Amino acid sequence: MALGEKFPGVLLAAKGGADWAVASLYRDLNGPLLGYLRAQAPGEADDLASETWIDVARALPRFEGLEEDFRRFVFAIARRRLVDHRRRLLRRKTQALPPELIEPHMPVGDVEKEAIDGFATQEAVARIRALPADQADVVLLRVLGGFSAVEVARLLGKRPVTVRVLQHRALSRLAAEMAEFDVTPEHQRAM
Amino acid sequence: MDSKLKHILRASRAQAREAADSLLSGDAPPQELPAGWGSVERLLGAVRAVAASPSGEAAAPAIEAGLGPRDRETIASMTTILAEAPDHKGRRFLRRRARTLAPRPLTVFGARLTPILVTAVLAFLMGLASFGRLPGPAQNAVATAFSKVGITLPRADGSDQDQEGNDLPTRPVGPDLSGPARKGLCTAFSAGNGGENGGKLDSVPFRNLQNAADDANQTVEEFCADVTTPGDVKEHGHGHGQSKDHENQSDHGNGSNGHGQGNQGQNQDHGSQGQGQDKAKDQGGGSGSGG
Repeated sequence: MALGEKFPGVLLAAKGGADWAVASLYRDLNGPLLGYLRAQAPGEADDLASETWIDVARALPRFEGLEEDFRRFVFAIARRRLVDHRRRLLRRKTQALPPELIEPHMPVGDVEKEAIDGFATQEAVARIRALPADQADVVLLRVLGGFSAVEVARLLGKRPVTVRVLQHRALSRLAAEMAEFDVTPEHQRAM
Repeated sequence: MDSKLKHILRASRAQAREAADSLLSGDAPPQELPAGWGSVERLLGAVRAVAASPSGEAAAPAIEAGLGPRDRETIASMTTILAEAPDHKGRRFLRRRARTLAPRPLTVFGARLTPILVTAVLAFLMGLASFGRLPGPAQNAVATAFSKVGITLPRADGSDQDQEGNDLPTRPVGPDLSGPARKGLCTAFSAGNGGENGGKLDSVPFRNLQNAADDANQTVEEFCADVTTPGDVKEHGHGHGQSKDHENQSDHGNGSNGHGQGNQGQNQDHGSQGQGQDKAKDQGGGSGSGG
């Protein structure tokens, strides 16, 4: 999915306003970006992603770097939009969702399967969001953003060691929580 | 459950961190995962499914393929922004030009210079005015302005009252012309053939003399006619006399013997705080012996 060697040329063309280059950059990163934002702010992810990309376009003429730098650049902007969004939520007591935002998430087709899959996904995301904020941020950036521990450390302004400790604590915590509800063959034999 | 937790806790910290790193990277072999982390792996797999979206498909050959209306709208907005943005270097140049052309407030160490300059000028003016060094109208204007805020400054016309009639601090008033100083002043006035060298008529004693003469509807010469004996100074100009007028009216003049150089009097007005001590020295060129 990465652009690889094509990235410098695509970036140069995108800076010049070529729509195919902008679309390539967008297509390359919007999936992980949307996933990250959906996990962090369900219901507002699409708006936040659009705002992020508009900000990326505004800042793109000043950007210089490699593909991984660009990926970090986009996610850094997304995190800022996310922080702004959370501040807005703190000021606004209630959060109204327009119907057009709800309809796309309504189940279609195999309702039962989609409901189970959706429930599993939502529950998985909810479990990660229930972690302490810095642990959740690290896990989501690693899993959905596709960043390494070092890149996450640079993105969050932390040391790589700190990020490794945070991710280990997060996974240990998840494992401990899920062990309470997990029924494995070992458990069945024990029962 | 306990055995799983104990197993996790028993695993060395380094190995656990390594395993966590691999698990989050998505390249951890299931058999190498610590016990109990299989459920975490499934959970992370479910989270990765969140990221799957139509716009993430890389196989679409055309720009619009695989993109929803919202994606196309976003891409169009981005393209417009990028197309309208000037070249980065050009924009930097424009910004630099704008900085040099736009008026900017003067700042020194982050402080605005204008209020500092205004304060300094006001303080300087006040200092000059407090010593009466400003030109007449300016001195009066500054004195009037500061009197509004309760600061009393001397006025150029020497009046002891400001515009509200408040008493001003005591200022030199010169010798009392009703006393013996009159003779000394008149003598000094007539010295130098009535010349005005050095702006002597601007001094307080001579202004007082002029005012006294005006009050008597006389000129200064007429006013002084009865105290300056004809020939007392001018005609004794060539004597060696010394004449000092003191407040005790002692005249130590030694007369003139016609050898001195008269008319070289020095008038020293030591009037201060209203207690004038006038010395009208008329020093001859030599120490004359009384005649």
